[in-house]
Amino acid sequence: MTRAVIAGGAETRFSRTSDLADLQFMAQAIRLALEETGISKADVDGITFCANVLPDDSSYMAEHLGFSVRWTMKADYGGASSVLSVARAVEAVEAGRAEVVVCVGGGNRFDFTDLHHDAVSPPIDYAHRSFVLPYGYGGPNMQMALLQRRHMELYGTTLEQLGKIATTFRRHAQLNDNALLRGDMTLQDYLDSPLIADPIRKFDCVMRCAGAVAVIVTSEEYAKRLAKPPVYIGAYQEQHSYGANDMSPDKLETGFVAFRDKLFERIPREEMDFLQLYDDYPIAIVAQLEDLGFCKRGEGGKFIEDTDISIWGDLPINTSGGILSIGQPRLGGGYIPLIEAMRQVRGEAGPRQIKDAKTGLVSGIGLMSYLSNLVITCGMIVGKEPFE
Amino acid sequence: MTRPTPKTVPWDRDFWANAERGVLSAQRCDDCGRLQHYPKPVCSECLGANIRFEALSGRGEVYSFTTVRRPELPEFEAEAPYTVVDVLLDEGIRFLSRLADEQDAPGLKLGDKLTTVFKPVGDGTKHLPYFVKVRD
Repeated sequence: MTRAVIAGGAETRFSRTSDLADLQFMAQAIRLALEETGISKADVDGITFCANVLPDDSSYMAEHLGFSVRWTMKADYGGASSVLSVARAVEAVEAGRAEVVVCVGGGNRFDFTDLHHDAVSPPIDYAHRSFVLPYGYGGPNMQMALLQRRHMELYGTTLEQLGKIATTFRRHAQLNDNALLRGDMTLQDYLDSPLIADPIRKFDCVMRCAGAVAVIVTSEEYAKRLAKPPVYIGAYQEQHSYGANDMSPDKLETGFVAFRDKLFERIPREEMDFLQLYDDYPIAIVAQLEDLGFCKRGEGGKFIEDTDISIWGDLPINTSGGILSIGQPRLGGGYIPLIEAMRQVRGEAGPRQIKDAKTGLVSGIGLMSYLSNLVITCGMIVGKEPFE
Repeated sequence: MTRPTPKTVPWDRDFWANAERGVLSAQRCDDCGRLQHYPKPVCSECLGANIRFEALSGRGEVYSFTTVRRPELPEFEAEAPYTVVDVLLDEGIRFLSRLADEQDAPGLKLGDKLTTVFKPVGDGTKHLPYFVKVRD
């Protein structure tokens, strides 16, 4: 059977503001990824776009960028779109439907509507339109606030524990010249940052930015011709709408619970040299550590307090600064953890390099549900060597 | 920008009609007995279409809450701060809403008892359920 691998990937420079349109950003990222891997554009026979507000269908987007391909997909899975589209590309390659698939996402800032010309605001879903937005509710800040409030009240999770996550990632970002937020952040700065939707404060919130990222998936056979070593995929799992059929779902239990045993079945947690987790909020890191089984339910705050999660520590998390300090380039944000995992296992992370990094976990989370929490959760184990 | 208001769809018509009369209701499936909110086109347990709206007590307790200081939508800025509540209704189903009176917000905690009141929104034809604290 054909084995799919990650051939490589690259990101554009990230910025607070830009004049470029979404597809221009994506084109830039694709070009950089082709250069990084040495793959010719003519060899690309599959493409996925992470785009929820572009009205164009995926085959038309391929046409706009001049890709005549055998396979396309538009990923509309919120923040999980990136990792999930790589997983879909892997399936396409292994099924023989394509051999070289470009996965791309990103764009200009969502709030610069005049640049998207005919973009449409994401319709989200019926429940949000009629039963969320009319209250002035909605948006991830408030949705995460409901989750964090309950976690703090039930388990005594502290702002200091959450602040440790934000400040550690900031230290990592200071070693990444493409991170937009590199200024010093002390725990006191975190605690003093203004309340947005309490207990969520400003330094809990991911910052929107402009930029794009592209990752290329191909067959192991094709990757042998390339200059750089591929990244191998050891396991992948995803879950959608966890708890969807419960009319009072547990706000603190996420879809990771549904697949964690399968995800770590062959490659146990203990083999992870690092975690690159989707981090739009520190509380999202706590929830993932608990539900992925790195600690018990309710003990995520304590786990953070007791663990050195820095590059130099016991369990390095988000070694490039995370989306929290880099910025969130629309649905391309989910590629940031994957690109960093790739650099770590290839030994290309420079001053951020973890000693002897061989295997790590990348996660994706996306969208928020009416009552529970994350609508989409996914996890992918990647490594330097082929997994048997 | 106009403030978002609920738009009636075929399957939630009775929810809004009941709300106009000051009654909080949720869908009951006649096939399997399930009670569900938000309104759905079918019963999300058995996928049956024999669903009707049933009056609820309108009473419940705080499951979680947040006081919003920086609204996502600019249309709500003038109202901030306001408190969004995730309510566990006595019937065992949850309902997202907002405190009707911000004076209930200081000292609010999980488990506090709440009851429904209705406020007209948009052009005044839609009545949206809000919650107030039940004083002992």
